[in-house]
Amino acid sequence: MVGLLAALAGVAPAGPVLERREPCADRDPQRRAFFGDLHVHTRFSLDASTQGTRVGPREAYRFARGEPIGVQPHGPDGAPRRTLQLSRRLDFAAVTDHAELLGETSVCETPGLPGYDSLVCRVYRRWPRLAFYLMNGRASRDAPAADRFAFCGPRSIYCLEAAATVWAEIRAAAEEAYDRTRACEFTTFVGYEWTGSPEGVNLHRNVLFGGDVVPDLPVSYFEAPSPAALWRLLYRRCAKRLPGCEFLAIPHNSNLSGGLMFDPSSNQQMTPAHAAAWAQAEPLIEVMQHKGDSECLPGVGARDEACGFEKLPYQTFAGKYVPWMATAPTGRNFVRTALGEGLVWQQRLGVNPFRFGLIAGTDTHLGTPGAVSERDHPGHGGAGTPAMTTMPPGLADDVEFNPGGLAVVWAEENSRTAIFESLRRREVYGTSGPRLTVRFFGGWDLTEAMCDGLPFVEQGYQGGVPMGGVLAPPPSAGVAPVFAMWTLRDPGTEREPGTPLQRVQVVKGWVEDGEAREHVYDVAGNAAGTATVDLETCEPHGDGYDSLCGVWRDPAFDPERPAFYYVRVLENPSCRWTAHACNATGVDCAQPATIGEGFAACCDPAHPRTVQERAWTSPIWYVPAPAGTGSR
Amino acid sequence: MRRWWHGWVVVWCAALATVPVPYTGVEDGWVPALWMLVMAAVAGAVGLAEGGWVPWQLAAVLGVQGLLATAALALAARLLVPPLEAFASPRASWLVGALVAGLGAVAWCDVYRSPVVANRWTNLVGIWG
Repeated sequence: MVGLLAALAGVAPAGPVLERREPCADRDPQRRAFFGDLHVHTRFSLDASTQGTRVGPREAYRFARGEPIGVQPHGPDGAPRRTLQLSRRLDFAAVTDHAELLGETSVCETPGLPGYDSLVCRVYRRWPRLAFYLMNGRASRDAPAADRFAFCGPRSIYCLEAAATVWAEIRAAAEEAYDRTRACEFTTFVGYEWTGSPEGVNLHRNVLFGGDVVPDLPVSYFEAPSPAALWRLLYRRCAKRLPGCEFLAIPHNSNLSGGLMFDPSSNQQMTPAHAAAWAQAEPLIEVMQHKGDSECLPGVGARDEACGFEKLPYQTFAGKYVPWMATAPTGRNFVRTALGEGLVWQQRLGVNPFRFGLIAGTDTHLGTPGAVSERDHPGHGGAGTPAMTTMPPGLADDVEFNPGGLAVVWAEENSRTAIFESLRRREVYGTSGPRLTVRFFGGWDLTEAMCDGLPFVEQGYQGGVPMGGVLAPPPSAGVAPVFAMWTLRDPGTEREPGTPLQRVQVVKGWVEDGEAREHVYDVAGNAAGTATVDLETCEPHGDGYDSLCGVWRDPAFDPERPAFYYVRVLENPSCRWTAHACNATGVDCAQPATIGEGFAACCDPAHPRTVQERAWTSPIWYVPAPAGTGSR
Repeated sequence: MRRWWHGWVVVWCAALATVPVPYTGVEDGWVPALWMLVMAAVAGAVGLAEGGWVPWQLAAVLGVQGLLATAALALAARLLVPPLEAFASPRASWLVGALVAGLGAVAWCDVYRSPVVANRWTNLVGIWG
C-alpha cells in the first residue's frame, strides 16, 4: 500500500541492493552491531574549505579506518599542525559533502579553470570567511530563485563540469576504501548532502546510495527546491534510470529547522501519496550530531528531565549569526514531536510519513568521521570558528556544539548490501558518542525469561520484531505488547574507559483525541541516578551497570490507538568536552587569573559541564487495524 | 599663514583607518570603519556581478555600520581636535602629528578582531588578512 502510494508520488519502492563482491567470512544471521558515521564533510564542502579543511575523502576514509591524519591549522609550509587518530576504528562511513557548491569550490581552487579569476573566486582565496557567507548564501538562501554564479559560465557548464570531477573523486574514494574481500572490515557509501535552507531554516538531508551505481551528479538545492522535489529527481535519475541504483535520504538538524522540518508547508501538501513518498524516501532521521540534539525539548510533551541534553539556544542558523534574529526552539523542531505527528497523520491519511528510524552522526567538517571523544574534541568546524593558520584562543569549538554521535546498525555482515538493508528496515540506533550496544524487540509473547537465561536475541527475532519494525496485529483482544531491551556499556579504551550505565527507558507516544501524547517509563537500572562525576578530575563516582536488561509490558495499551515505542539508554554523568578542555588548561573559576581568553564559558553556569551520554533506538510502531477490516 | 588642511580632518582620516569600532550582524568584532566600508564594497561588488540577496544584505549590514562609525569618528574629531589645537597653538601641527602617530601606534597593537579574517585579536596588518 505504502509502496503503491509512493509510486504515485514519483518515489517508487526500493528494490534489493545488488553488488558484486566476495561473501563475508564472518556472517551472523542474528546480526551484529556495526558502528559508523554517515555525516562527514571534507574539503569539497565550501563551509569546510573556507575554515581551513584540506582533508579529502580518501584521507577521511583512512581516518575512519584508524589511521592518523593531519588537520588544520596549517603552517606557512602547508603542514598540518594537528594530528588526529581514532582510538577505535569505525566499521562503516560515508563522506557527505554539500552538493550545492562542489563545482564552484573546485573552480575557485584550481588555477586555469574558467572562473578561477572571477571576483567571487578572488574573494574566496583572499577572505575565505567572507566568501563562505557570500557563496553559501547563494547556494542555500538564494537558491533556487537564483541561478548559479555568473562565473560558472553559460548554463553553469564550468561549475557542473568541475562538480562532476569532484563527484567522481568522491565515488572513487568510496570505492577504494570499501573492503570487498572476505574480511569485510570496512564499508563505505557514496553520498552527499542536499542543503536546502529556504528563508534560512535548515531542511538539510544526507543522501546515501546503496551501491556504486549512482547518478552522474548529485541532485542539489539548485535543481530540487523542496524535499519532495529531491526525492522525485533522485528517483528519476537514480532508481528509474540506472538499474541497481538505490537511495535513501536522512534529514538532520531538525533542531535548526525553525519548526519546518516536519511541516508539510515546507514541502508540499500532505496527501496519502506524499506521506507515502516521505516514508519511502526517508526511513531514518539523524537525531543528534555536532550541532545539537534533536530528540525532544524540555517542557514539551511528557515530563522528561533527560531532554535537557546538548540543546542549542536558537532554532535557525540566522539566530546564531544574527543575535536579534534568534528565537527560542519550539517542540515542532524535535523528532519525538514528529513521531507523534506521524501517528496523527496515520489516523487521518492511513499513512505515517514520519516513520523514522534513529541514527546519529558527527557532521564533522574536518573530514574526521567518528571523532566523538569528549576528552579530545578537536572542534568540528564548519559552522564553528575557522582555524586556517592558527587555532582560536580558548575552546576548540563553539561552546554550544559538541563532538557528535555515531550511527549503529544491526546487520548480518559488514557489507554495503547488509548495512543498507539495515538502514532501510530501520534496525539501527544512534548514540551520542559511546559505543553502547542496544537490542530492542517488541511482540505479544515475549517473556520476562528473556532476561533470565533464555537466548535473548533468538527469542526476540522469533517472538517479535526488532527496532524499526511494526508490531504484528494483536493475537487476541485484551493483550498488550511486550518489549524486551538489553544493553551493554561501552567498554571504552584504556585511556578513555567507558562510563557505567544508569538506566534504560521506554519512550511511548500515542494518539488520544486526535492529539499526540507521550510518556517516559523507567524500565531498568537506577532511576534515582545517584552517581556523580568529579568536575576537577572527571573521575566518576557512584554505582552503575555494565549491562541492563528489561522486559516491559505497556500498562496503558489501547488497541484503537496507534503508538510508537523507542528505548533510550542513559549512562551515568560524565564530563562534557568543555570540562575536559577547561581542566586541561588549568582553569580555576575561583581564580580569575587562570581563565584565559576564550575560556570564560568554563565558569558560566549557563553551560553544563557534565553530560549523560546516551543511545536512542529506532521505534517499534503499533498500527491499529482500519475500522471494519479486522486486519492491517 | 593659514593651513590648507584642517587638523581634525587629518585625525579623522587616521581614525577611520585605525580606531577599532564594534560591529555586529554577521558575527561580530572590532575593526576599523574603513575595513567595514571596504568589505561592504566587496560584498556589493559581488552583488552587482552575481546578483542574489545575501551579498546585498551583507553589504548593507557592514555598510550602514561603517557609515555610522565614519560619522561618529568625524563628529568626535570635529569636536575634540580644534580645541586641542587651540590649546597647543602655535604647535597645533605638532599636536595633530602626535595624534596621528598615536593612532598609528594603536594600529600595531592587537586591538582588532573579526572572524572574517582572523580567529584571534590581531593588529592592523592582520585585520586586512
